[in-house]
Amino acid sequence: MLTVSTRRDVERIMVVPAGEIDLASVDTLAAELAAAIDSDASCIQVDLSAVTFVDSVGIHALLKGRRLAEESAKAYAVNGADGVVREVLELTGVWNHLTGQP
Amino acid sequence: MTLSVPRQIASVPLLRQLLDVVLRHRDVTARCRAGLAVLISEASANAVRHGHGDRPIEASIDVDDEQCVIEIGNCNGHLDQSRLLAGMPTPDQESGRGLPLIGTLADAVHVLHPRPAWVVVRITKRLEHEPVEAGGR
Repeated sequence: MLTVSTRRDVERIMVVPAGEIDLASVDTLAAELAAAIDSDASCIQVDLSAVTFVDSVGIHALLKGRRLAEESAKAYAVNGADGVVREVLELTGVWNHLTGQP
Repeated sequence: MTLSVPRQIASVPLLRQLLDVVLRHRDVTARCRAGLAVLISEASANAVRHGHGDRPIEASIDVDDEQCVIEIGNCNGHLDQSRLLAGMPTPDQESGRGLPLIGTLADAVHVLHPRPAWVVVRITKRLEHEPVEAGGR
């Protein structure tokens, strides 16, 4: 079960998924990320603090969001992951890439 | 426990939640359950995406005091065991993490071809249990 809310703050859009990101729910996240990148906001921030589960399908969506944002010359950063979600993102080697750290 | 589930995306959370209920019942630690949740999701998502036609996914969950063995089978041509041992792709690559993630989190993984055009991924993981309180269990 996943719900995704978005919040606009001047130039920035916050995308906040809550729940489990897997094959059954990933399309909801991908659609919200694509809409945020398509908007006129210059910065997309993805807050994962309410995500309780992520697997490689969710990682694919987060990485694709980063690429689409980059192609549209927009800032994109993921933050807020902790516990098992953070561990999976670190184990798969994408955490620094998604948070924009070198 | 053996069950047949439709080759549909909704089967992924169904199998994950079912496994979690079984493991909670056996006082398996949250950390260990989290690893197994990723393992069964990756294996069943693979089966949903790469299986053929209307044939269901066959899942089996076998838990004892020591370990959990998950088998996810689907109708498919072939899966090469070596792909489970592959390293993680570089961060700029968007795909290809599912099988290496299974290989990393599991204690053992085997790809079986028990009958023609059928592939089974068998995942074994040792269990960690919450400490037993006095008078408990």
